Amino acid sequence: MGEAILVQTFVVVVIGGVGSFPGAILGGLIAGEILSLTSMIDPAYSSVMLFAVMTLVLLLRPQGLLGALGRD
Amino acid sequence: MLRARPLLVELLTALGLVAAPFVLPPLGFAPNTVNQILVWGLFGIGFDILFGYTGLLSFGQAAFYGTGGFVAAYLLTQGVMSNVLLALVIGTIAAAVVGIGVGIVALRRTGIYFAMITVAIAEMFFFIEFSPLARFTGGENGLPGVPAPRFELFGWHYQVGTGWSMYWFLAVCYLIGVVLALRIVRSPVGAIFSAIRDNPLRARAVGHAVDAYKLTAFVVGAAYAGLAGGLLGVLQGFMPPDAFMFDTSGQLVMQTAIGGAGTLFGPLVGATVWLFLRDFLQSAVGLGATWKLVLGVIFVLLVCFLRRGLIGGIVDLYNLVTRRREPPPVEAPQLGAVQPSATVGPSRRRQETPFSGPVLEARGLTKSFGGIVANRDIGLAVEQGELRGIIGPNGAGKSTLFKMLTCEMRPSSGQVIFHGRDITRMGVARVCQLGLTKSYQVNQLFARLTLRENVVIAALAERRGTFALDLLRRIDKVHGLADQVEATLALVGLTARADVPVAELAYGEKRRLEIGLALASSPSLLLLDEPLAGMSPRERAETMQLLKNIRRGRTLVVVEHDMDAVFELAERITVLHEGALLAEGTPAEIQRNSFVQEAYLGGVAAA
Repeated sequence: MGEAILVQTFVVVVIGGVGSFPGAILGGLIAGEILSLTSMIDPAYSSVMLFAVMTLVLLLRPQGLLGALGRD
Repeated sequence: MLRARPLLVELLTALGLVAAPFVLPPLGFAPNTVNQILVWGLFGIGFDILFGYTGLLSFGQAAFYGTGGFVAAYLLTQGVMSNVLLALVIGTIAAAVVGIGVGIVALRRTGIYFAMITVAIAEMFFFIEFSPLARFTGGENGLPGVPAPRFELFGWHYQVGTGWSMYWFLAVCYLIGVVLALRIVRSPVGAIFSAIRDNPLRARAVGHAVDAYKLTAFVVGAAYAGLAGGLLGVLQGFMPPDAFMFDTSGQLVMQTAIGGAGTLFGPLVGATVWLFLRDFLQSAVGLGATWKLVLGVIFVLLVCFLRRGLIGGIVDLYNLVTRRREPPPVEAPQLGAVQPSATVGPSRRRQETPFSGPVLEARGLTKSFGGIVANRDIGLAVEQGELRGIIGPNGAGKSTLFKMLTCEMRPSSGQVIFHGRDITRMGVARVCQLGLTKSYQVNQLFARLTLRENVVIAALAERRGTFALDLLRRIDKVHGLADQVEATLALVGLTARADVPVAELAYGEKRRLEIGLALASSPSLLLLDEPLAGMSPRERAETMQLLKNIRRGRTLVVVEHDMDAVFELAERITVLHEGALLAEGTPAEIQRNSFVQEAYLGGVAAA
């Protein structure tokens, strides 16, 4: 519990797109895969990867993967 | 902003810092707690400049706190250097440099997305520090053995110890931090920071390089964080890895909210409340770890009922108690026909090259949004000194045309030529610096500043260019600024209301200020987007007079729905219809034009 899950939830929503329910599901799947797959190689990097992917998504597609344009 | 009593705040801060060791212990503050408060307070000064003044909420300040702290601690514990002050300075610089990199990435987004990127980057920093760099940072053990500073001067030497001895060292650092921060917020750059907080769009439109100023605020915040991080290591004799954690950033934000953002001292007050409660509830009351439950309740109550924090609340209370009876509201005087309008002429700084031909030319301007064409192949030429009216029914594409002319919007195709120069691909700020600006259809003011401060922001852009880093220059030292501000206020007839906050102005006054903001940047060509919209008959008459006054020495283009006004003011009129040019000519020609009558005036004018 605590802010770890809070921050991860935020990451999920932002990756999927704020204001999009399917986006939250997609974001959750992606985040889960990133965390698990990175943990197979080196668990220490799992969070780094998650945040790196979120930053990348925000820079390339600011509205998130399934978010509508024009929301800010 | 312009009339801060010199050195008063600095002096009070110094007195407070001297008094603290005598006042605080009887209240139950241990020296170590007071020292921690100072470190948090210093950390918070930078954050407050970023959040309270510039309006950028970062949840990633821990990244810089940790960077500054670990760089300084590494240098000191690994035998690289023994001079504590030098190590602190290097740590601060390292944090600032990292801040430039992070800022460039994070500032590409605004609002919640900006905050999320700062969180993400800070978390990445934490994990990198924790694992791959553990060899340098000690991983979960941190770096123990950070020495306290030792001063040597002409044979006299002083070794800073723990407790109050450390306090004096930290107090001097804090005081320096406050003095510098006060200089920054009272500088032209500080004024522009608050303009960006209130209205980034307008700050850019009056000619400031908003992105560069945001980055400046971000780097200032990072530098303060780096210094505070270094001091944390020195204070504890140990650099803890959790300095990098999200907790640190979160605590900083909460402390600033408790104390009051935009006050510089808010974070210090917030840290005092936080750490006092921690000590008091944990040991005196015996709550142990559950003290955060009480803290949470107090935080929610404070944020709900004291939205501007403790300092904001105190200021409000002070104003309530001491407020002498309000002076009767000063009516803005009627605008007379004779005004010293020539004083705010086109800029003296810009050397206008002798140029013959149209001031502004649009060639084949087209703008389409998806399948909808808002403007189709519009050509336009405005001569020097002309007053051009642009009319057309709603949806004719007038506002889109204006946005393209001021480079707020890129045309799909076509060119905009200003003074013989192609400006099509330039930014709004750059174009404003060249002497072309507009007033907005919907007021775009700096809502939390006074009327005078609003005009100052616009005039600063003309005086200083798009970007200058005069962080420590006093704003009243900017050459010619005061004259230009006064002249602009006189021109729009708002001198008597200059110190009123914008939120308290009447609609017509706000509308005149809107034009004043555009005028203060001394444009040679001014575009006015529906200057008469929504005005009462009296306000309309005043604004008509204002338009007649400001047209001397300037070229104006006015979009307006008020037909009578356009036909009275304009020398030539351009009619747009369904995104295309329908007709152009003198008012008399337009009135006779049968296309216009059919499409727009509905034959009324012919009757």
